[in-house]
Amino acid sequence: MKIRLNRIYAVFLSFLVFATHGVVEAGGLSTQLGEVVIENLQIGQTYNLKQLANLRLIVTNTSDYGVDLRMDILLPDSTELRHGAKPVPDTSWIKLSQNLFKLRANEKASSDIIISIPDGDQYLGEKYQVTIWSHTLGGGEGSGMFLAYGLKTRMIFTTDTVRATQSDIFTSSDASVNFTLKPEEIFLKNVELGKLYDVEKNTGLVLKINNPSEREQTFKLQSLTVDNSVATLTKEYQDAPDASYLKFSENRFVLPPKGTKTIKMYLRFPPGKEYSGKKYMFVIHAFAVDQKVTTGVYSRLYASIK
Amino acid sequence: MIKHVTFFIKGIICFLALFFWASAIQAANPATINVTVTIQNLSVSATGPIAFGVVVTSSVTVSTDSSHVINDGNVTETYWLDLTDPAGWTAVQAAPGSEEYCLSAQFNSDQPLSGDFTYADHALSTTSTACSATKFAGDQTGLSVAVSGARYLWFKFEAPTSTAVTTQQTIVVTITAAAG
Repeated sequence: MKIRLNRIYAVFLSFLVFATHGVVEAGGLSTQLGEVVIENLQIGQTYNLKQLANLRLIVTNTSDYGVDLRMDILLPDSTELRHGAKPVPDTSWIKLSQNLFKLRANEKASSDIIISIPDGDQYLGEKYQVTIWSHTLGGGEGSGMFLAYGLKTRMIFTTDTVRATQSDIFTSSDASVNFTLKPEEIFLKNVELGKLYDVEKNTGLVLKINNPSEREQTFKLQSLTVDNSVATLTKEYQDAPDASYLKFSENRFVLPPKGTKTIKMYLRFPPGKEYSGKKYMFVIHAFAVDQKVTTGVYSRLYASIK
Repeated sequence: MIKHVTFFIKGIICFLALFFWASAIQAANPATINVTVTIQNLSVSATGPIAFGVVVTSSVTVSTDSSHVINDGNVTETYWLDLTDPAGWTAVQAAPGSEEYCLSAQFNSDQPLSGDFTYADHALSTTSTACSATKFAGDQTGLSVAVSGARYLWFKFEAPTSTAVTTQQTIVVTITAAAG
């Protein structure tokens, strides 16, 4: 009798396994750091990216509710590697100042990223990649199937091909990558060959560069082919045949503290059957030049040729 | 004799060339450090939790509601999916046995039928797996989702054939977004 009762009890409990509390909520995460490329670091040095370029990993809990957030350092798999980079030899090269957070709705988690490169000639002139996985820990009230959210930040860094003398080594600067270039992606359709395509006139889009810092900064703007950039070619697109086909209303300007600049874009493909019906990707690079460190951000322009 | 002298001179030239090349390398100035944020805004949101209602051992249940997954960032994103096992149960990518379960996921505009899920393409595991044209795909995919793109993610739960677990269980499915 006792056995029979236990069986009934077990079956009854198994009925309850996936009963959730039934309240549907929206959850999510966002970050301003989807991918960053740092070039020419010195071997044998430790770099805190906040001190080097005012760059931190900031993740916002966009959920309607509080979450536990964790940041993990992961080795990328072969499908995730970009630009001929190798996985970082040891994840211990990368440290975060904090990796566990309790966030309320719309609260931000912020962590310094610290890169330490061992001193060894085998690390000269290399390109390494690592993933920072920011993710909520899920769970919730009651039982059932809950959703958690994650974001993968790609970090790619190269080491200089030469050792700097002690006097040339620095691990901090006044440079700041704390500025934005919007929109991040621009799609142009039916671009006619041999004619000037005024992006604003055809799509209403202009570039906006915002300097949120408290100091005046000089910015430069350039068009790049994917091959001449550190970006990755987007699937279904070809690299721009010539970066000079894309021009801007201004290429160099000074922005006051908290200032914003609007820039117009013009695209002109020469007549030529080889371009007809193809889809091309251009990289738009806005950058600030500091004596020690150059900081920049990318947008992408995709042009589908008629 | 002339052959030996020529060989010797060539050797000297090679040595000097190598020496000056090596010196040039040592004396070269370090390159400027460039820090470029190549992708600025990555974001994902989804609705949950997913209710399965009442399930019994050995049963197969397709969720009656989906999670609405949105790329609310500013770049194209691909999703990765994984799950965390509850204590006492192990996820398998095949028909489950005792203390095993199979949870499958599929992007589809409407509720899929149970037979629309396959273990090879839809079964979740504890390893984060990227969506592709076939992986976790129905008539939608989690591959290269455009900005503001919305997807409906459905789940199928295959319960253990038997269980000694006597407490309610929680399974967490993580939806991760990566640029590209």
